[in-house]
Amino acid sequence: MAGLPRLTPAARASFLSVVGAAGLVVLAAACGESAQQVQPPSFFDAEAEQFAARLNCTTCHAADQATEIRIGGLAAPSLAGIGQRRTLPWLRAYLADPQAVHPGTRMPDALADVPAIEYDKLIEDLLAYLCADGSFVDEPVEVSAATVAQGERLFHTIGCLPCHADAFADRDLADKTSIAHLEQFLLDPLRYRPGGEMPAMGLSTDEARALAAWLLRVQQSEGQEEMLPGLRYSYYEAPSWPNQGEVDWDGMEPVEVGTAATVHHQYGTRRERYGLVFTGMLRVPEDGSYEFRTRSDDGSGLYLDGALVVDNFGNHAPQDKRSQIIELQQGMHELRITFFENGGGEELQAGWSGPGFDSRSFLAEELFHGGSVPRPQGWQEAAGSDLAARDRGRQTFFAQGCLACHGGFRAEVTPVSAVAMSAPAWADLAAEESGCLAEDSAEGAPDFVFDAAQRSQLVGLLADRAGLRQTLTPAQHLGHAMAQLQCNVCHALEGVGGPVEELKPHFTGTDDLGDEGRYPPDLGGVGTKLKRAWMDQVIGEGAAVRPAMVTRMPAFGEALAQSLGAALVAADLAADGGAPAATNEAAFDKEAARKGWKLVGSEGLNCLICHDVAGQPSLGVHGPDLATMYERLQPEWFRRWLRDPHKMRPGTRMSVFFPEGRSVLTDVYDGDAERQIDAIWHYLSLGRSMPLPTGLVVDSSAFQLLPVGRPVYFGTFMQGLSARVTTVGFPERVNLAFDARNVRLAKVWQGDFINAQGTWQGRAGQLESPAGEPVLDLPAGAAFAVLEQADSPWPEGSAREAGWRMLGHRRDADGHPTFRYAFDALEVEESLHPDVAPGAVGFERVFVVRTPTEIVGLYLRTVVNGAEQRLPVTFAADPDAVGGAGFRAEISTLLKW
Amino acid sequence: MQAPVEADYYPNLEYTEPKGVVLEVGGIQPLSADSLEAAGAPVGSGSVLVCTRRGEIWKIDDAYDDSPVFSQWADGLQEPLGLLDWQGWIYCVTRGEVLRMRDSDGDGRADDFETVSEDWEISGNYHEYAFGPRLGGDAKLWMTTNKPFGGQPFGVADWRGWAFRIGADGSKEPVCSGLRSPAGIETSPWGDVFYTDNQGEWCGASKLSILVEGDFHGHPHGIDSSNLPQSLVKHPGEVPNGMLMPLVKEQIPHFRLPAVWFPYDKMGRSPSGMAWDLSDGAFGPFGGQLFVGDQYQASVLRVDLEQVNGTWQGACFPFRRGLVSGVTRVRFNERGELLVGGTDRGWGGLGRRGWGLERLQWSGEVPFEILRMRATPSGFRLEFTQEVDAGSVREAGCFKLSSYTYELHADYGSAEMDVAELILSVSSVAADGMSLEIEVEGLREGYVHELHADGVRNPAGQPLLHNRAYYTLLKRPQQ
Repeated sequence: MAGLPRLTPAARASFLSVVGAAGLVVLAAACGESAQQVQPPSFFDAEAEQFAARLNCTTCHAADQATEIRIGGLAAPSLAGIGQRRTLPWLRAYLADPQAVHPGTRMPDALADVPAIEYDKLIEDLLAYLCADGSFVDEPVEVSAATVAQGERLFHTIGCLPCHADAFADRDLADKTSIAHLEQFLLDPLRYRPGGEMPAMGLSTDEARALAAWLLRVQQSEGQEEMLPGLRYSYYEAPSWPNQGEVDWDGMEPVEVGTAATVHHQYGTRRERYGLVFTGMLRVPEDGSYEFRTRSDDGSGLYLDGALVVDNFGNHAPQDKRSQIIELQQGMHELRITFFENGGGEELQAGWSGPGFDSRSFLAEELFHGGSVPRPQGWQEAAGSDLAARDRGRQTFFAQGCLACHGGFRAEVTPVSAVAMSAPAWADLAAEESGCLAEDSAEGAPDFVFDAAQRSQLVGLLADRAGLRQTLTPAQHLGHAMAQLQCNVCHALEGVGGPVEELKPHFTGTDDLGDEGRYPPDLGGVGTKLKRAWMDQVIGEGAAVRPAMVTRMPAFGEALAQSLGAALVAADLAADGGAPAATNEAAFDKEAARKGWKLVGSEGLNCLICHDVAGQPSLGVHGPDLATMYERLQPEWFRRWLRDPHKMRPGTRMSVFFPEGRSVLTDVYDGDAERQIDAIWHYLSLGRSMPLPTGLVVDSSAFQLLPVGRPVYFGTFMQGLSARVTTVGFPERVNLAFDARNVRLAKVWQGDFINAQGTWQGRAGQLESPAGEPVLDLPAGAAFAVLEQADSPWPEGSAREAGWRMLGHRRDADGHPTFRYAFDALEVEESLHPDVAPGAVGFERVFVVRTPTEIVGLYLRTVVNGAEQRLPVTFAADPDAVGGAGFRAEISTLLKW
Repeated sequence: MQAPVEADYYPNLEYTEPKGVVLEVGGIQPLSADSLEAAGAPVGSGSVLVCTRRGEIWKIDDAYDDSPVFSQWADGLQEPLGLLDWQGWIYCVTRGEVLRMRDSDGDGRADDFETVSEDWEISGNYHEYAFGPRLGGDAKLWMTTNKPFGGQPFGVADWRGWAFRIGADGSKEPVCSGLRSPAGIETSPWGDVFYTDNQGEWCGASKLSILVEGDFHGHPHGIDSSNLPQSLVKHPGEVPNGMLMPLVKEQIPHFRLPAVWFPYDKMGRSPSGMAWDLSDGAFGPFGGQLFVGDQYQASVLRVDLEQVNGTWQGACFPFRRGLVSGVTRVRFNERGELLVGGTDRGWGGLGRRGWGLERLQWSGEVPFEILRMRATPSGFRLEFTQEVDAGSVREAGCFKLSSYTYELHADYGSAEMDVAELILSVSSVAADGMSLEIEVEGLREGYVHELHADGVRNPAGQPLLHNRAYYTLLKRPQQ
């Protein structure tokens, strides 16, 4: 039986280096942008240093900063709430012999020197202390076989295996904890293991539950049948249901099954042509007379102890049906409720009345079903709550030096300053096999169960402590950093490392993208490829930029992101001669971005054949989303990549668009490769707000409206506005709503345009809302008003009430709108054009006002940078006016929010 | 020999719209060669504009070739339910306005959208549709508004269930009240405007009615707008709930009885768009008659009108079922083919698909049909498309006739009320066998006269393709 973590041979070969939490800042400074070419240190033993770091030697044996950088370790697991998360028998066994429970653990046997006669009592005292905040918390979770199977699939595909190579044996974790606790751990492992050696895999709650269920699968067969809250439900779909009588449910396969806390019609996915069957037990509180009822649209039936007591079948509007009065005895009674919905409205309520209560729906606490809950053995056992024992345990915890690693435990009641550290400092240790390094660990020292080779390695470190204080080369340092987090079990570095042969089948892709679509990328040169902020984000928060890759890049937390990111950058800078890449970029150029847009689309280089675009699927295989490129990539790397991808990554599926320095497309910039690449970069700099390129295929079965190439207009009822609204979504991912009834631009928003389902499905007539955000609501009322002075109150009421009316709208060659409206003889044209710039999409909003007679004191009210602003309207003679008489004003504003 | 079927005489050619196009037809406008030339557009085999409930207008070029070309001409209209090509503009009625559009730069897309009239309200209820416009004989734009059905999130709106006449300057004249769900509107060849309405509350049976200024059509929902200054219709007062239609007419003189009732299920359930056959024979023997779509039945009905003592009335006949989708709009093209468009979204119908566009062509074979059923002082004259076998029509039981009317009431739809079986006799058969006269005892004004002609045969012994006719008798001709 092996323990956590399991290290692959590759990982074992080069254990690690680098810093605990305290050392991170130092490391970042040491590897900062000013890194010079560093002479290799006179002493370097990668394996020994990484081993020492893993053991966290310097948490007990305080060392200087320079040594800390070489052999400092990761923070130990948090013990907060440990008693609630682990079964007591497991904790007891682990304290007694960590290596027996978890072979390979870095947790030493801290009680090795305790006399046998005191041993059991001491452990019980320690347990009392560890469980001071509570013993094991039972949160029963029911899981299906399908969930367990999903967990198994996840374990073998998303990237668990490379670290936990020989998987978990059946019993491995089964006695340790429960599905609920393991699920919590998997969702946020950094909370429990702040060191980061177990990163977060980007799991959904369902996935975490599935993984936990599979890891604890042996508990499935050991569960006891018991009464659990809620009813079981089965959800069915069918083209139609009978107009009278009960459905033949037994002849059908449910689409979904689950546990229902209460009885209603909203289980499953469909709201037409579906059915539900609820089964379980009803707890009758006392002997007496009861009456049952259902209210349903369409049919329903209620069975008690196998007999139909409410017949509410058939297709009908919401309809109440009651049972006879039924005499029941206190206790559990079998309950079954069936329901089906054909079309139109749907509703299901079920309930009862009885002694002391009027008719109401069944309460959650009245409904049960029989089921089995997986649990660890010994989950009921609680630690003693004897305060004296707990205090003795606390003293043992201090005395044995546990706090050195688990310093945060009960910090509120255990000031770290109170801890007497008895271990000698690193500088004061003898370079010999004594103390923890003694063959039989010395009295007062924890027992790590080292073998001879390990003892010798560690003595070697002690023997050249001066050499161990010297600065590593960036490459050596990166080796330590990567080994510490086991990056190399998934990523090669310059061709070394990466998935081992026997695990390669577990690295899969959903598209045929060759090895690029299966294996995480080689990290060689990544320091000059990725922007630093993105690199930190990828390491710290995980990433999913490769949609076709099933293996996930997990999240190691912010601190490790900074140190590892710094190491990657320093190593690549050193390799490139130490000169930081030029980061200054040309100012954004709209015309170049427009050319880039054309180049990316189907009339250009057709990048969207293989690359997703701003969340829209590509036409073929799914390469990284173009909208992420600018945020991710350094411009110089991008240029080199486009010029010759095969030189940078032999065998890549990326096409060569610029063979021999000339573009395959000659009608843009005369085929000038550099200018075309620059233009694409300008386009990519728009990020998520990039106008979607031509050629993208919009899924018409979806009601989400997607402007591609030109704006999409959609007329609708709109929430908070009126029943007469024209909305316009632009490919630039900025949108507007013009309320024709109230004669005003009413809303603008960014991102997704609108979902038309409420207007385009069924009888429709729903009030629609923007799909994207942020949304700016423009001030209600007319955009123009005559004021005595600029700060006079703006007239109350809508523009229409004030006398404004619509004249219509025009669309220019790009499909941009000009809304036209009037007040008496005064006419306004309001044009809206997306104003595209990286990270700040808005509208250029231009008003042209014409009037036969000059109007004094006319003001325009708009929003500039989120703030309401009033602009005086200044008229000049209108050159286009009929007969030369008339006035005109033009006001151009930027609408940003 | 197999019995002939409708499709033998009127085959349909279905359009296959491009993938992704949801052609839920709200309006059809064939573009004439003149119109296309004036716009500088290629004529090809012809072009058609189709507006959809999704607010798009699709232009179909080479519309009568094997491979018609679809392109989007406009989008963003709010439930447009009618198109009209007039004076270089495409007019359209949407929920909230009459607008007109044109493609001023010739790039194949409309770019200029002008509001012609927005002088009515919508409360935000899905049922608040508006239909039209049609150009009346008075050169004004005619349109109708639906009444709401269910919640009204922005309050109750005026002018629902009305017909308007709108001048080119946008001025609105509310000419009729009491409409329910007036899904079809069309101008007759003689300039009067007619509309179809769907049975429901205060509308006992689906119907075809003439729009005459000052009339009240029965539904009380929008009658309080009669008190607004623009109204050209008197407030009818309290509308009797549960009274036979002819009696309502006696109580409320400006209550308009329909020119034709469409008995429920026998003649569809939801009449919609309509078109007069002015094809000069290209569409077969029914020139001058009216064709009406039915949204539930996915069918087209046929109507023959006549004016008796100044009142338009007439008969309806089954014509063609089995169309691709619930029919919303029918229009004749310049070739004398009937363009049929539909969608049953939200209601469900007998069509195979949720939407579609097709063409009905006349095969050139004349079906054996009752061409006309016309009132005479003593009964009806029946005209046929083919010679009838004189022996067959003189046999007892060849014809049966019953009559009934409907009740005006708040409940949804009316049963056939005051039903009577009528005694009839064939008084004469024309020498050429193409028509005959029947005398009827007990003709009643304000009643549907339902004719069964099961026994009629042509000289070849074939029965009629359709042996039913429903004549709404409002006025008996004088001697």
